[in-house]
Amino acid sequence: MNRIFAITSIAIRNAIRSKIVVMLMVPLIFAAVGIPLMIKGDGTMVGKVKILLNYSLGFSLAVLSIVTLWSGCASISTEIHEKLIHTVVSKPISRFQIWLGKWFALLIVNFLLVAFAGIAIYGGLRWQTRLAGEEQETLHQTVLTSRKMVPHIEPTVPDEMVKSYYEEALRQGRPEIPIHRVRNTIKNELLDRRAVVRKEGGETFWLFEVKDKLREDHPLYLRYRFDLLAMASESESPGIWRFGKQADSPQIPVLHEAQLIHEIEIPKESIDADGRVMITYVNQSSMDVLMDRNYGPSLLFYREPFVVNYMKALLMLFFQLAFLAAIGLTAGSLFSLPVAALVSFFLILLQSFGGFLEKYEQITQSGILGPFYKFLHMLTGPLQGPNAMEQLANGNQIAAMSVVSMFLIKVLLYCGVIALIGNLLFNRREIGIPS
Amino acid sequence: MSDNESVIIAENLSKVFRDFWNRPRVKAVNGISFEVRQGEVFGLLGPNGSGKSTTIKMILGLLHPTKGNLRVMGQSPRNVAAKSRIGYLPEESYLYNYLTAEETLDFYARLFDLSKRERKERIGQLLHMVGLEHTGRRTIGEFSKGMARRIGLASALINDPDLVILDEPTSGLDPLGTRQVKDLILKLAERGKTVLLSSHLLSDVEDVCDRIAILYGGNVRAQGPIRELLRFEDRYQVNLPVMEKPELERVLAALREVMGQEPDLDQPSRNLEQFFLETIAKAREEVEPTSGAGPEADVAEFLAEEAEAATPSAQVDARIEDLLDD
Repeated sequence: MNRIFAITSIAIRNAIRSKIVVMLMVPLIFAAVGIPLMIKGDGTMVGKVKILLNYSLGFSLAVLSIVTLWSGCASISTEIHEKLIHTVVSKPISRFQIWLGKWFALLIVNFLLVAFAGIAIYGGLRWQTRLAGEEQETLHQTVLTSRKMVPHIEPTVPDEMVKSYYEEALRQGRPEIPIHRVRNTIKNELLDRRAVVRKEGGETFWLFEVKDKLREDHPLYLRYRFDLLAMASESESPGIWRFGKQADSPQIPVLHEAQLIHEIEIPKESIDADGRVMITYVNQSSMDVLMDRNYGPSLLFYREPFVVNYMKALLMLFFQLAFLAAIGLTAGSLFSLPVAALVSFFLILLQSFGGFLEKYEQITQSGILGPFYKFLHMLTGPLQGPNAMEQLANGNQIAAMSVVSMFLIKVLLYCGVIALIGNLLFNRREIGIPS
Repeated sequence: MSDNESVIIAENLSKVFRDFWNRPRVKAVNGISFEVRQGEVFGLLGPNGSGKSTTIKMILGLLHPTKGNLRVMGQSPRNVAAKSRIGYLPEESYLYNYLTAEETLDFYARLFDLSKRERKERIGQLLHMVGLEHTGRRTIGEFSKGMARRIGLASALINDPDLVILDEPTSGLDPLGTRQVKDLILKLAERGKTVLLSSHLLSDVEDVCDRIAILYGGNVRAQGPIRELLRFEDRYQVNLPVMEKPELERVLAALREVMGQEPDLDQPSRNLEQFFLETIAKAREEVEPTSGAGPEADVAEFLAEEAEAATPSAQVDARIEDLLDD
């Protein structure tokens, strides 16, 4: 380990003495101080804080990602180009140890920079929200918190229904769907149907099951978003939310605007002893309403302080940087700096494309490139974790399992595989070739 | 070629550089064979582009031979563990400019997994040896070429290597530094260390090498013990003490009678290096040393431990005996 840490320590010294670290602090301070001054938002402090969290952290991540990728590419390739590495590889140190030492250095510098950005943004946030006034309470209950989100229970699809759907599809000559995907298709159709609430008294209900114990001092929220299924001069729509199976269950009348995310506080007593609750929406407008399935409806309740969630988000950003550092270093150990940079950006692009494939899975099912997309999807699929910044900005709890699995998959598994493949090739590379 | 006590064995070694399409571009080394034995100073000579550096890079595992067999310390040049016994000074000072001299040496010492105490001791001794003990906390970027070269040399010796590979070791050094490097090479050889020296400064090679190989166009053109290669087989040289003119005339007359021809008469002279060193030594007694690299000290203790027995006079005696044996 002494050899690896020797490489790490001089790489860190380089980062500090070349002033890269200090220079990077400037945009990170801008993210914490400058961006909040530029944000107008929707006029509410809640809206402003949400945007601030997204933009400030997003900007910091973008800056650190670019610099990490570039530094990773430059770290080994520059030493090869300047022949500095000749005096290193002629010592009893393997190339894998050199790679690992450089990677640790990038991790340490990034950890410090993420911590710096995190503290600066958090400080900026506190400073911004000190004068929130009446909004203070809402802010701490809906954004500066960490709430668990409970989605509604999805309908169960009996085997007979799957079988008959499959046979009916074959009879009608519809494109063949693999039997294992039929259940999902039926479920989606049912959910789509349920998302539509007919006009003038139409009703739709959703079932929820809350397994956790709710805290007395924190409210329970229902989050939803909807669209109007007709052209309307007004975007506001009247309705009633009912909490319970009985007609006389507690109700909350609402007059809410379409295409916005709404959160309403709901009575905790409506949850029965088994932790179940049926929530019904009665549409009182003259237009059909479509509940946005991406936003639930879902229940939200307090789980832990915002700071804990914030640290989890920072950790996930750090893991992403560790992954980028591994890609950059590997590319830099195989190619010259410009080529390594291009290869790295191409790989990151592929990773993003994998995220796109994740959303539109049908792309992988057809066309000549189908198998390629399928392979790409298989390769990049595990890298598509939850969006930490979005969850943080919405006050959603980032599950500890998400953090752990991101560490295991992105840092240990993928970085490990990248390191092994990269070093297999790096070991074969002749680094003494005259340039 | 026996590998008994052989530190480096190269057999039919070739290196062809290829282009992007894998087409042969340059044949840098073309089937060379040589052997470097333990405890000898072996010189690789040749003009620029003759294949010296390529050969050294193959020995260090920086390049892979296209053909042939190469063993270093009985191992493949790519064997990482074997490198713990090798010290390498590249042809230029490839050092990290942002590190201080002490940090540089400490970094390389850590690559050899030396303990903190050993590192501290050796760094102090080596900085003293190369005359840079007062500049240990200055960054390499501030150093002159010669000073950086001295740090490079110190870093090549930090592990007390059994095989020292020096590529143009005196490049960028002043005559004092050059003399010191040559003394150091001799001292290392006395301790049984093996030195592979690559240079195109022939006087450097002549002063220190036991055997040489001359490369040209990637081929070995001459190889053998340096004294054998340089000796005129059909001539002798006789050195006489200073004598009065009549005595000299008598000696010359005797020679004329034996040889049947007029002998060459010349007065021996110092070479420029000796004269320069004497002048500087006198100057040092009169004035303070200049800034930058200070006066060089003796070889670092850890490098000289077993060499003390072999004094300069013992060296001369040994050389005379060799000469008589030949």
